[in-house]
Amino acid sequence: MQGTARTVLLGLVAAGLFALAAAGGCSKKAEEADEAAPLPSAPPESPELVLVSPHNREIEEEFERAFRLWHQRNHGSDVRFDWRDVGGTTTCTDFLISQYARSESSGVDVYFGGGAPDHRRLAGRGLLLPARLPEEVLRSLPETIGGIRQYDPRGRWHGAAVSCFGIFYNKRMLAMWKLRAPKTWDDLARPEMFQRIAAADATQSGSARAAYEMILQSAADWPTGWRKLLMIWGNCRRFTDGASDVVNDVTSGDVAAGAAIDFYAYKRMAGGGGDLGFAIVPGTTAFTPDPISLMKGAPHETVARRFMAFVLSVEGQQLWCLPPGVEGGPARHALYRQPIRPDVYRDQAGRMLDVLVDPFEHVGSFQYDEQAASVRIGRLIAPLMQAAALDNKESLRRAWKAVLDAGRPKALLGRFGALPPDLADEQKALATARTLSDTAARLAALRRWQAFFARQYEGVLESAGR
Amino acid sequence: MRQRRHYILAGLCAAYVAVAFALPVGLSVVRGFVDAQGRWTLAGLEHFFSYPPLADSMLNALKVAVATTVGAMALALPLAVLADRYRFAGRGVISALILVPLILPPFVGAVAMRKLLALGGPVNQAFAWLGLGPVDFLGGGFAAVVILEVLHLYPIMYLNASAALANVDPAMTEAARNLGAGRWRTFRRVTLPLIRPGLFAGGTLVFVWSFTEMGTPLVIGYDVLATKIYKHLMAGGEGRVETFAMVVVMLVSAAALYATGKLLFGRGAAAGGGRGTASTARRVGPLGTALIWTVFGAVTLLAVFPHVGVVLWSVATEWTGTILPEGYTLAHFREVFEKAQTWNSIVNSLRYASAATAIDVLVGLAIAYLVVRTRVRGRTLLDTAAMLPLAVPGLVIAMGYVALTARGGPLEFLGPGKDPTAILIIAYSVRRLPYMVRAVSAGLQQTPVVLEEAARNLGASPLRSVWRITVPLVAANILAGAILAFSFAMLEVSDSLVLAQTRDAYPITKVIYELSSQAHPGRAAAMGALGMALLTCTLVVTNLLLGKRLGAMFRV
Repeated sequence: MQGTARTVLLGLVAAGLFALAAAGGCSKKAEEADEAAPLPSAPPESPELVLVSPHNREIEEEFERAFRLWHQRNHGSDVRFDWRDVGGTTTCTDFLISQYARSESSGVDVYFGGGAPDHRRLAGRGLLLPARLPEEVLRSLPETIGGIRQYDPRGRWHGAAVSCFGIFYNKRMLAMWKLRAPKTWDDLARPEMFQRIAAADATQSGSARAAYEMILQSAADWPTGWRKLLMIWGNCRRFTDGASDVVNDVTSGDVAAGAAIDFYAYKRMAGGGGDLGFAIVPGTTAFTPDPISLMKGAPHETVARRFMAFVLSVEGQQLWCLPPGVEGGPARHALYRQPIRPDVYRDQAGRMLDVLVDPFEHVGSFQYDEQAASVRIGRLIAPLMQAAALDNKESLRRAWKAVLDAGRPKALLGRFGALPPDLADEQKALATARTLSDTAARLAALRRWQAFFARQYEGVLESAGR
Repeated sequence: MRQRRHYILAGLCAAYVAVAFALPVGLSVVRGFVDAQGRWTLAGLEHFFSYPPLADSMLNALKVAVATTVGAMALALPLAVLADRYRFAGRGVISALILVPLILPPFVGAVAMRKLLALGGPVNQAFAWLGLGPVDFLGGGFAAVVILEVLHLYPIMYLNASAALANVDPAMTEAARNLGAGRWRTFRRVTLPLIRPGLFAGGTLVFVWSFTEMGTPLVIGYDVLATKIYKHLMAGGEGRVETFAMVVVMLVSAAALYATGKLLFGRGAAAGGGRGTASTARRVGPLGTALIWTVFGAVTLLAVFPHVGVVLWSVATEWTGTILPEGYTLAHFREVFEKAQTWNSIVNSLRYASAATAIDVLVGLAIAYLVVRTRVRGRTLLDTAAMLPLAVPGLVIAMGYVALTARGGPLEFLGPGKDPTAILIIAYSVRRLPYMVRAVSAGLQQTPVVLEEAARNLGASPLRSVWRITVPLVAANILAGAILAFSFAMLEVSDSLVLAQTRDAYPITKVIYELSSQAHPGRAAAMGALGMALLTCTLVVTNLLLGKRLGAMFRV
């Protein structure tokens, strides 16, 4: 084709593409649910409800649908839902805090989801209102599970669901590498697990920090717990960017096992195959709440309180744990979450999704120290993991391998798991942690610890004769 | 007066680059020196230089860059020589296929790689079936990172090498042969020195890109400066001075590398056939053609296995634990068009990208014209400034925009929390500007100025002569630049992730990011496959438009 003619033709093609693009009056679709059970929009005169939530679309859709039906039945009108999806938990919390920077109201009614630490943070700043739940709802909520508070004593947040950590594993890979299925955290530290597990980067993932705190508290004391954690990290093939990446790596078969939150694991198991398994560590597992709160200055307080009461009622709680389509269950999606009300477990036993457990049976005598947990999760675990594992990956691996090859002799193990002087015992560690909110102190600590661990691993290698 | 008109135009362009690029980058830099309390501090820089893992990560990045550049050259040069020296059936197809590795869609491509290369994944299962042992691709190794980056970036070296080879005057080589030099000697002593400037210009770009590359090391788990910055930012280090100090270090190094490369190798006419050299390619028979096809085919196949993974995931029903998917379906593609979430993001991206491209055409044309055709003082500076976005890591610019539209500040209404449309369009446009400037510059350099002067002599106003004479002559370049700018904007990553925070503003890449972490990345893969199809079309079209001159767009 002649040069000019060709250019013209291609120009027309490009112009066509641009016209298509600029048209962009390819009007956008209204957010609607799937075809099978569409959520029609509520009539414009219905009362409104504005929510911020890190929950996925499925959860939002099921609760919206159920509440709207409930509200129609009990108060004679539909409700218009306005979900503000700003991202994950940290983003949601930061967003809410920023909204109050120049105003008494954030324009948001309800904060649904996110961890207890986030709701505590908001409560600490006076941004949450006491929920003043109906008496019968409040009476049905457990105050604690395993020493962990499930709602704020001043009523500013209430756990709407609970979750726990456990070990997620791939049976195919376990078989291929001839490994026993891990049942406890100690199993993850065993020699045969070397390079066979993955763990999440604590600086990137809040739930990873919580999981590591769990492992720490599962031991007799702080130094023992730390050593256990370090041994697990020594066995890691990789430190992933997020908690969900651990689940992905186990699923794809790059590692055999890793720590995971229960609902990530359950969803993955439901999605694909008998290859995957999840073990809740007996006796030392903590069930933590996933709260719901009423925001200060909520523009639609009445409806918001009704929604919160609904979520915590039997009808709302059943949405978490029943299979879709059954009576009282969600309409389309199985949510795989653990309800918080004990009576739901009693009354729905045998009807719940198979994989879910009864936290009230599982919890045993394990008492979770929330105070210490809060300080460590908030300040200490991330920089400590960075110094000991993330920024010393290769030397950690080599040192640990040397310890394993030597048969894990006690002296060497002690050397391997020793802590820097300012973290040597639990009290010192907590005191040090509290100083880390200052930038200069934090950076200095990081430098100190990284050098300490680098030297330590070198020392272990030397002692082991490498 | 002509001079004043030019200076006004230059001023406007400079203002645009200043606001859209220098300002956000500057804000990012400033945050490397201001702590949480608002005090000036060098603590961040001090930390960088006194914390060994950070210095190590920078060293790693340099190692990766060197190895990748050498590897890409080693891979691309022989291929380019083959394609230049021999005429064979399907030559056009081959040269288009070479570009395919450039179009791997973000996130879902990485997801595909992680799933494919897992120890228990399809590739290792295939190896097992063939009786070979498993290969630890994802073990966090330097080798894996370099190999993957070489396979991703060699097309750029190929384009540059092709363009440079096309520019070699055959009279030179013929003279050498006449004087008795063998083929290899001629290549070494005559051809290689002649193409070296072009090679190194492209090499500088590859070097800077692989130095600032974040995606591949992140997937493999290898620590480089870019991944460290990313992790610090994601750890809520947004306000932390040491994070932005690292950004400053990366910025300064990348800019220094870019400037060095440009100074050493960037002068002279853009590499591109403008001298009408007669082709000296020799025909090859079927055996030779088969051989050449095998070589090109092998390299391309190796380079596109992640793409294959994406396509397979987009049509798979289930794919866990087997070498190939357990079943196939078109449901994912259908869902992409039916569900609001994905459809709206496509509409959003189309809007942002087309607006950004329109800006790029205007500004790029203006800057290229000023640089090539006028004698405005400071035009080299303008040219460098317009090209710098290539050297600056995307995250740096994105975070700069966040700082620019900070909450409580005067520009908050443009920010991610409110309506980020304007800021996204500006961000997209400034990042593609280099392509437009390069494309149009190359075209202008090959268009004789006498034609314009003739028009002016005949009484046409400057604007009219540009519009009626120059623009039609460089139409192919403008078009090619616009098409490439548009496509890369459609699949833009950093700005999209950081700046689009409300669901209704999400562009394609953000939706892909969200969908990628689901158990079954089918819909993410379908969107990625569509993106790949778009980019393939545009690369083919621009290849047709510019041919060998395409190499001119990917150099300093």
